[in-house]
Amino acid sequence: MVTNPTRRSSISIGRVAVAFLCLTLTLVGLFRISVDVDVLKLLPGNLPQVHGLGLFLKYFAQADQLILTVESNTPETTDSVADAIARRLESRPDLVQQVVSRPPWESDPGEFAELVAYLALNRSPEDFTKFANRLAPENRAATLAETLERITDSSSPQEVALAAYDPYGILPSLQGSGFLSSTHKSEFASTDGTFRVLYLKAAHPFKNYKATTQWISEIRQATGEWLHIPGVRLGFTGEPAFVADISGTMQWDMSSSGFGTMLLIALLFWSCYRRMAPLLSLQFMLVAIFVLTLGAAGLFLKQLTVIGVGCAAIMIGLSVDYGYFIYQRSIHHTGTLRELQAQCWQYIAWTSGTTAAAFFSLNLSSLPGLSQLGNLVGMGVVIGAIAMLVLFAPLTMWRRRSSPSLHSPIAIERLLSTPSFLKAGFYLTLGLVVVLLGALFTNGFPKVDFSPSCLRPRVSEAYTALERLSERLMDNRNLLHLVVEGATEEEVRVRLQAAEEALQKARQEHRLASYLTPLFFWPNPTGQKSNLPIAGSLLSQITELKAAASQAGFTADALALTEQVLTQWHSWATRPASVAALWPENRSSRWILDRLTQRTPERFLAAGIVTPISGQERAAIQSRQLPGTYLVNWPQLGAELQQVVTKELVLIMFTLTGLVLLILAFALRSLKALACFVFTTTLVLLCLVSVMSLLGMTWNLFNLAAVLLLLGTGTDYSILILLSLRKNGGDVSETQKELFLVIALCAASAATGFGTIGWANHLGLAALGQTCALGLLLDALVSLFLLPRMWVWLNSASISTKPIPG
Amino acid sequence: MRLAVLLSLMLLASSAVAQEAVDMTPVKKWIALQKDLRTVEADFVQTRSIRALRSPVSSPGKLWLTHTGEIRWEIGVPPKTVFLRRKDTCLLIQPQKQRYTVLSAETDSAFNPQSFPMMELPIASSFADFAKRFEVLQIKPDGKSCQLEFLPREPQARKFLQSIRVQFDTEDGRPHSFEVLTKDGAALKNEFSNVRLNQKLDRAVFDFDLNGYQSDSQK
Repeated sequence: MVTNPTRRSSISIGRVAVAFLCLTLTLVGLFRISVDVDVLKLLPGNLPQVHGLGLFLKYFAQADQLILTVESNTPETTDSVADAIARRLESRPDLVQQVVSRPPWESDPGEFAELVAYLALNRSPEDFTKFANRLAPENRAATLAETLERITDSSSPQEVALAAYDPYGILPSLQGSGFLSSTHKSEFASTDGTFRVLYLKAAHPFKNYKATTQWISEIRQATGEWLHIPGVRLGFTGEPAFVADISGTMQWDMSSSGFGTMLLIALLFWSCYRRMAPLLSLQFMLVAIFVLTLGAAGLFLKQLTVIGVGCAAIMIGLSVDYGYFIYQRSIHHTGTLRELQAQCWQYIAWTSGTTAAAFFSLNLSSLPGLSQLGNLVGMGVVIGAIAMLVLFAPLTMWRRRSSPSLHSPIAIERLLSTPSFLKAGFYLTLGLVVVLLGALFTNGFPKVDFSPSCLRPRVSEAYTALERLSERLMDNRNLLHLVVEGATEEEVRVRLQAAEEALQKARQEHRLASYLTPLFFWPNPTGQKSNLPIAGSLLSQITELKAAASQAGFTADALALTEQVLTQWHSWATRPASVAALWPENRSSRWILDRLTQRTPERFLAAGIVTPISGQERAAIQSRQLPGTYLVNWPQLGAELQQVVTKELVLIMFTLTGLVLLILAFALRSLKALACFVFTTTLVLLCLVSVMSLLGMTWNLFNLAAVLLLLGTGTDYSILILLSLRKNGGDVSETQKELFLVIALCAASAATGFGTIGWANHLGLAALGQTCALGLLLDALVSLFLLPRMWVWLNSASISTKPIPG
Repeated sequence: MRLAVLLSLMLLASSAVAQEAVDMTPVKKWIALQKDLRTVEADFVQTRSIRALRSPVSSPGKLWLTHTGEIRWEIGVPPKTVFLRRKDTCLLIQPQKQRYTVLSAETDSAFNPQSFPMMELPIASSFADFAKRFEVLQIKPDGKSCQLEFLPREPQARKFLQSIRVQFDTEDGRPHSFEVLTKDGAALKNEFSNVRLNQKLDRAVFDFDLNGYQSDSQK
């Protein structure tokens, strides 16, 4: 054959150009990719619980604060360690911008005046005019007498203290606001003093998760000397600690499961073929497929979630199937490379097509975490199939030419081809299936657990510290968070008033135990505008007000707050007019308001707390749906997910089943073959459910998706067997010779891939891995040993007289 | 140096001797007597001294206690504030304003009588229990009367409290006065008179007709 040198050269240039383009795109993709540890990114953002909880965590969970907890057996030790750590960190401005170890108003009570001035100014104009009248010369004596009477007759220390230092009643009544009741709860120390909390703000904003991890590590170093004192326990929690914890475990999960899968695949290959060169080629291909897929993912996805990290092991475990298939074929192949590629193409196209379809179908789910996993693995499977056919097949053929001994069948292949192996396998698998179906009948189906526990890491120091914090200070875990958002202060105020009314009604109807809205602390722009001119003029009366109070029996101390508030009002009244509402600015005010209110250029948010009555949570949430108002917590998120996602997954499952059956109808062109497929798949799913029940596993958000993956992945084995049986005219021994080793290897590799993520730190990902690994093994057993018998039985009339081995 | 060490040792020794020298007998006896208390009924005058006021303010009141934990504590004649506790219900009532607040054990510190300036009887179930919960600062016997000054061991309370003083009758255990002193210089003293021990109490005293009253209960 004469080859045109110009044509050959242009083909080479074309290949180099394609390789260069692939490399460039991969590099661009790899540089673009980053990780996102936000677990809510795994969930459907259109659900009210997810949206509301997302707002709460983003704006009110103090994302820039590290919470450092100190615990010991005595309050004295705890105090001395907490104070020493606070001093040490305060001396490190390069590391920490602010250390708050005690309520800011305790160290500077004078700062409280600004908040009082603000709260009083938020009164309605009518209410403020009434208050101003109480200060008028003719009313002062009566106002002070009334305050004295309250001091004398009250049995509440809080009321006495407020009245004594606010004799003119500037501060609006806290009675009924709900804030008096919880004032004894501290964010800083437990009641017995053995547990203290420090809030640390980083010196600089974090650029990425690596900067966060580095900062946490430096904080640990700075507090290292107290970490090892006997009896003293330090804990690190809050958003930065979670980011450091989860991103660290994500990296570990990804690398350990990926490398673990590669290693186990290498061992499997070596134990079967004992050839180094093809093993190295296969490993190289797997790494290349992984890098190409990650690069492709980087081009299409901006951030990799905790679930996405499981893709490495899964796609390696699946892509290797095509490598095994090509390699096994090449052993017995006597034709050209193109003939080998053509033979393999038919099988690989059908199997990779169904697998990719299954994974891409996860996009139909509203769970972004699952969609991402589906896209990553789907891309990986397609890239893997192409790369194995285009690159690995030529490599295999080249090795085969240079090593003729490849022609001889290997020992394990000979063993798997024996009739006695098929017979023993059939009886053992049948026995196993009978036992598992019996167990399913006795034990029933696994329980369903849609609680958000599957979203959390298996081991996390930050979670442990947070749980301890909740135990020792205040347990908010079962409370509902009220989150109200709006475009303007006035809009949020109106929504808060509506929420307050709805909650009041729900409380009267016994659908909730109590509630606390931040309406008391929310600015009233209309009131402020109307009240400020009157408030600003009151400072001119301070001398007379002091004299009247002194005459009534109050000391100079009692008027300190009044004077500070009047000065603050005067300062606000005399500053340049602004259309924006007034917000207090000092450290103490910000500390209090940051927990209840948040402002960004685009939106305003307010947060409150609702104590539900056990069992009435849904009723409380559904009592009145208000725009921009959410009642959220983690358990309710789980309940909402269970309601929405179960329906959704069932729908996807039916769609996917239909899709797979359609593909198979084209591939197999036989109703009996389809019946075999449906029967074996059903059998596999029932056996899987039984094993899960026996192992005490539960269905959760993630392993429910395993059923979808099994439909796409595990069915490959049935398809291969059915295609081969059809090609060989029902000759089971030929199919056995052709496919048993390859399917055994594929199943072992894919189960290894999923199995390695069964130990992932993310509990949802781990459950998905365990369920898929079990399902694949069961699928391989049923496909190898039961499916051929069934196919032969169904087709006994039309099959030639070749005997069935065993 | 040696002299300093010697002086330190002497100081330590004298302090130990002083601690040992505190005779706890009156306290032990008082706590033992409380075991026999079934009911207490008394009048009192509540005097409050705070730094914001040039002179203390006083108000008369009445109290009823039972050994099962029921309390009625009225301030003012006629009552302006009534604190009422029955089993797990706690009410703060303002009869003149016709308003009331239901206090919750979980969320209101005021549910705990120690947060209110009131005395509960028995103050402890035994001397061991008393010693576990309180630190005795001083005991001043004076004939038939004895003044006990103590401080709760709970760190949160110690942050605000200077001390608590109780004056009682060493023979029958009846309280003469109960005073709470806080670290900011404030004091609240209840001086009891007309104390009646173990009298049969009308159960209706722990009831209150709230018809027509408006609730100020916490949300």
